[in-house]
This record gives sequence, C-alpha cells and structure tokens, in this order.
Amino acid sequence: MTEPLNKKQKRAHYRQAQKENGITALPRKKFYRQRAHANVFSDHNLVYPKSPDHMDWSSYFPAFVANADPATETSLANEANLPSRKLTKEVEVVDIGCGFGGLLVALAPALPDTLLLGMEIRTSVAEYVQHRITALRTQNPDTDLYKNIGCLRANTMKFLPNFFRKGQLTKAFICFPDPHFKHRKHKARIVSTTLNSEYAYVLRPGGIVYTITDVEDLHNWMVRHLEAHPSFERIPEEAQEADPCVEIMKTETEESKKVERNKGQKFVALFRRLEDPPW
Amino acid sequence: MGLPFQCLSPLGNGSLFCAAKGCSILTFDLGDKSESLFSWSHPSLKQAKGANQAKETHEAPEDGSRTGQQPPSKRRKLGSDDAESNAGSEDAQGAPDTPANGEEKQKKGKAKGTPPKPEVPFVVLLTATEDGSHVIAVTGQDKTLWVFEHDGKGSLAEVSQRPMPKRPCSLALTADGQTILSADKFGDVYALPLVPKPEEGSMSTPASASSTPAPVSSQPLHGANVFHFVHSQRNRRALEDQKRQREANARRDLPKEGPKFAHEVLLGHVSMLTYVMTLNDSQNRPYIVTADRDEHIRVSRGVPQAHVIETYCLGHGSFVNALCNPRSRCNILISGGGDNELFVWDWLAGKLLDTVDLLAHVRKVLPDATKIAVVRLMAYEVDDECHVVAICERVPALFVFQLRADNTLTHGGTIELGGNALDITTLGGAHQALLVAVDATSSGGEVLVFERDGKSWVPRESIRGTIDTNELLPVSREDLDKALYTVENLRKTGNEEGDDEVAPETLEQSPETKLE
Repeated sequence: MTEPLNKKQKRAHYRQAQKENGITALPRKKFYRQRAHANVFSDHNLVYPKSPDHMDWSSYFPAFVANADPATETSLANEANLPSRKLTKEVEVVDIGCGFGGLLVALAPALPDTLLLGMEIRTSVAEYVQHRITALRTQNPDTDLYKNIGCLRANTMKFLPNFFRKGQLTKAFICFPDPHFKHRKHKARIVSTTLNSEYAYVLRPGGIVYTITDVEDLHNWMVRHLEAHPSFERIPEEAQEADPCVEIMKTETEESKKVERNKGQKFVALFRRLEDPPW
Repeated sequence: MGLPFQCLSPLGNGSLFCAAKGCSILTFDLGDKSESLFSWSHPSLKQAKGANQAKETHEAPEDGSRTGQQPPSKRRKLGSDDAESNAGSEDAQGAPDTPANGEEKQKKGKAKGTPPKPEVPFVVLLTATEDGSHVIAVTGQDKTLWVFEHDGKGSLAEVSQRPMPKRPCSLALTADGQTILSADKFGDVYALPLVPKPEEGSMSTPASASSTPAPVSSQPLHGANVFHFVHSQRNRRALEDQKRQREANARRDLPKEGPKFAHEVLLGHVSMLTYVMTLNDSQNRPYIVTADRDEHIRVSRGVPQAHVIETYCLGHGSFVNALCNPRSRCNILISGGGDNELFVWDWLAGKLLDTVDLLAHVRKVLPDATKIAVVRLMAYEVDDECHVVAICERVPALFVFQLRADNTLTHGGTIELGGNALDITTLGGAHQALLVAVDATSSGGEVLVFERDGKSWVPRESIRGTIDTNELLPVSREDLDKALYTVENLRKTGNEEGDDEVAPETLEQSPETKLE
C-alpha cells in the first residue's frame, strides 16, 4: 500500500507548490491521470448552470468580459439571480470530451476570433486543461494567444442545453470518444440517434460536427447514426480534407498522437447541420 | 389490509371513471357509488391464488392468458410469485432459463446481500383515451403495457399486453388518440399504436418513416474486431467476448434487444424521464413535452418531426415530476417537482413567466416539512377561471391555485384530507367532480369525491372498492410505501452510491478529499 500513498503525496506536494507559486509552468499529466471511463448516467457532483442565461463565463474568458454599465446591469441581474458580467461574444466551438486539451490548444491560434470551449467529464483531466490554459496565457503575456479557449467539467450528454442556447454553436468536435465496446453500453456512446437531436439543437444550420476515432466499428456507428438523423448530412470525404480543422484534429489531439505512435488508423467523418424542415 | 387506490382516470366525458388498486383496475360510476362496475386483476394474482396451495413447489399451473404471448423481455426483476409464472411461460416456449435472468438475480444479490423480495405487479400508470373508448395501464414490476377496450358502460376487455424494454414512467396519447407515447426510465419515448395490427406481430424494429429514425442495422459488425488497432488488454478481451457473443447471437438468430411489436423511438434524454405530454400550439401544430430527473423540460415537435427540439424550459433546480396545461390557455405550462415552487412557462418560447411558493402552503399542513415532491398537477376551468391543483408526496392535502390573466399563480385554498393524496382527476359532464385517491392508514384506501358548490369544492360520500384477490397479496406496509411513494427518490443526494463501475471512479474524482 505504500505505492499509491507515495503517488498521493506527490500529487499533494505538486498541488501545494502550484498554490504557492501560481501556475507558470505547463502542468504535468502524471499528476492528473484519471481512469479513462466515466459513467455518464450517474449524477456525479456536477456543477452546471440552470440555463445558458445563468452561466457566468467571465472566469473562463476574462479577456472577453464586456465593460457594461455596472448600475443597470447588476440590478437587472440580481433580480433574476443571473450573472452580472457578460462576454462580448459567445462560445461558438466546443470540444466534447476534450481530454487533455491538445485540440483546444492547437485550434486557439487557428480560430483567433472565436471562443472555444473544452468540456470534459473527468475532474482531474478538466483541471489539467484549465491549468494548461493558465500556464499558456502566462507564458505568452504580450499576445492574445490562448485567451479564446476555456475548459470546464461537464457531462455533455446530460447538460449541453444548460450551457448553450439553440443554434449558438458553429462547430462541435467529438474526438476519440469512449468506444463502449459492450452491447449493453451502447446507450452510453456519445453519438446516438436520440442524442443527435441535442447536437442539432445547439448547432446552427450550416454548423459542423467533426468526428474522429481509431475504432472502425465506432466510426461506422457514428456515421450510421448521424447520417440517419434528418438534421445532419455527411460532408463528402473529398470536401472534408479542405477543412483546416480536420488536419489539426488528425494530428494535434493527444489521442491522435498516441494512435500515430502505435501506427493505428484514424477514421474521420464530418456532418453538416441542415435547416429544420418547414413546420 | 385494504390497499389504497393509487391511480385515477376519467372514462370519457360522463360520470364513469377507472381506478387502480394494487394490481387491479376497477371502474365506477359516480352516479351509482355503491359498487364497482367491473374489475380486472393482473394474471399473476389469479396465479397466486392458484399457487397458494402449491407454494414452494415451483409447479405453478401455467397461466393460460400468457402462453400465446411472447415471454416478457429479459432482465426483469423477478418476484417469487412471478418467477413461477415466468418459468411456466418459458417452459411453454421450450426455452430454458436464460443467462440474463441469472445475471439479474446475481446482480441483485450482490447489491443487497439478501434474497430478492417478491415485488407485486402494481398498476403504476393508468390513463384513458379522450373519448373513453380505451384504457391504458402499466404494471410496474413486469414493465407491461396493457390496453383495454371500454364498452362505454364500465366493462373493460383486454386488447393487448406489451412488455416494454424498460419500465415506463409516464404515458400520453397523440391528439388523434391512436398512438401511445411511453416515456421510460432509460430516457426514451416510444410511440406505439393504441391497437397493434396483427400483421405487425412479428416485426422487431419497424423502419421509421418519421421522427428520430433508428439507423438500419448494419451488416455483421467488423472493424473493432480487427486486432491491429490500439486496444488495451481489457478492450481486447471485451472484443473477444463480443465476437463470441455475436457468434452466439447469430446462432440463436436473435436481435439483442427490441420488443416484437410495432414500436418506434421518437426521442430520448440521457436521464430518467418523469413525464410526457402532447400539446398543440395556437396553430394546432402538435408538440411533445418531456420532463426529466435532471431538471429539464424539453419541447420537441410532434410526429413526424419529433427529432427537432424546439426549445427547453430551464430553471428548475431539482427534478421535474409533474406538468399540466390548462385547456383554455394553450401557451401555458405549469411544472413542479422537487423544487419548493411551482413554475409557470410560456412553453413554446421556453420562457419562465412566474413561480409560486408551494412549500409554504405545505408547511401549514405539515409544519415540519422542509422539502416537497410534487406528485401531480391538474388544471381545470370553472366559471371562466383557470385553476391548478397540486398534490405532494406524503402530504394529506390538495393545494388549489388560480392562474390569473397575467399568467401568475395565486394560492386559492388548501383542502386537507384524511390521508396522503396519491392521485387526482376531474370528471366533466353534468356535475363536475374532483376525485382524489387517498392513502388513509386507518381505513385503507378510498376515493374522495368533491363536488362544486358555488365557489368551493364540497366533499361528498367517498368511494371504496374491495376486491378479494388483493387480500391475497402479502404486502407489508413497508413494501406498500415503497410502491406508492417513489417521487422523493428522484432527488439527487450528492453522495452517490453507484454500481461497481462508478465506485473507483468516484474515488478518483475527488483528489482533494484523498489528500487529507
């Protein structure tokens, strides 16, 4: 039992040092490792806003906080118990299950005028990404680099509409999701017929869902389920290579690097959100 | 002991109504209160009667009504009584006890360390079509959806029984009354034809032309079983298992899941559903409104566009359990659940219009109450005024609110009852009446009848009904409470006791606490 204790102590020391010195160096993954699977059906102890209006984004994107007239803003906000500090623009790109944040960090300079949010269900991993962003911002003090990315812990399968309004997003990335091999676990897969309706809800028409995986079975599953959904159409494979985000997704996510090292295959599929049919 | 009535539903626009008591459904005529017109009991009750002498022998007589049907789907919770009937029907099918059953038992044993208690097939949901021509009921323990035809005079004839894949939590009917919407524990809403067509009997997953379509089952899966991908040892093992399973399945030629009757998944939440209802907007377009345990109220378009989510009504801080919509105010939705307040919404805009404190009024009845769980909300109109009645779990009272023209709710009165309210309904027709099913510990159950007298509800003679078969049920007060009072259990506790799979994960989740 000494082994895990030592690990715990090391983590404790690391956190303590971080507290005292502030986060200036990039965090080290070994202090943030966590079991790769999370039960998406359980309650956890999640923190999430009651509705998108209740979400306070100011701590995630401090460079984008609007300078509002404090008098009117706060009185209005207090009445409805809403956050007082609004952003100048809204989050438009999400990385669902962002893991250790490789994609976010790579996309930040590629989409400098867009706010990007990583969502991760594992506490330690989300914390790692947050520390990573803090460190990157500190290391690049004279630029606007990395001020447009943020990460929070969330169960997107349950609470996506709590964070985003209808049609708020332009891109959603689903990179190397948990394959949930067992049949009885298929309901826990991040792409399913019924969940796709929620992705369609938060994406505006023309918005794109990006998927990548190294498991062919899962790739086929995702293609089948997204293609079958009337709100999505697949973007032809020739066209998808023209999207610069695809190259970043294929090379910059932590998992894609791992697949690269192991000489595995990567399967990419993109889907466009269609207009809702007339009603 | 006498069981209380737990569900009520009017039968058409007259004075007829039906009520569920234990595993039975009775029909009554309000004009003739003396006796029930008709009663139906779950087949396992008759079985229990028969098996009473031959108990512990596991040679219960085969239940005739069941043999023609498919055996209920796998992984059911097996009560001892029903285990017998199940074994009986399975023997009739020539199928041995499947491993799935064993797995379920094993799992239960692991969780509790005690042998599974007999759970009786209580009627948990009861509703009728608008015109009263059909009654739909769900028995909880066997997850079966029953449809009865009503002859207009109180007699019910069983039309169909359909074992659902997961336990239904709420039922609704489409505007034409021909399609049942069943919302289940797993978060899915299924559409089922009210009366299944006989030729559809063998269809497993009908291709859905509308709504959220299930993708066509692919060829035998390939890909993941190619072993040169990056797989951990465990994944490899799972893949091998899956391959074996696939082969085994192919041999038996059975789809893994899916009932054998026509059904279609319309939409789904990744959360336990608590309520489903159909609404129309001012242009008479249909919508499906669903509520879940994770504080959401979702508004989806109706069939055939159920895959389009119009909006959410977000603002609840605890589970949502009850919704209602006043007929004369088609844009208004009232919701309640684990919060202290009732919420008033413009549901199509997803806009919160008002909240009104309910806990304060509950405290006047039960001074020690600190939280409430709204069981049912019901709207009715009297003299061009719109009222909403709320009942809360384990609270012996009705709370009446008035929905004003400016869409605010104001408390109009509290009617104290002799027992906890379990369900409420109204009857239209010549004399408008409010029916309340109460659980009165002393006298057993009864249905209280209130009639309109001027501005207020006045109690009339209550209705009791006795059925012999129920007296056979070995239901202790504790088990009865467990069956009747389920809403408060929806509340999130914060200290989650997950299954084996969550346990290590939750530990891992809070590194801070580990540091101490």
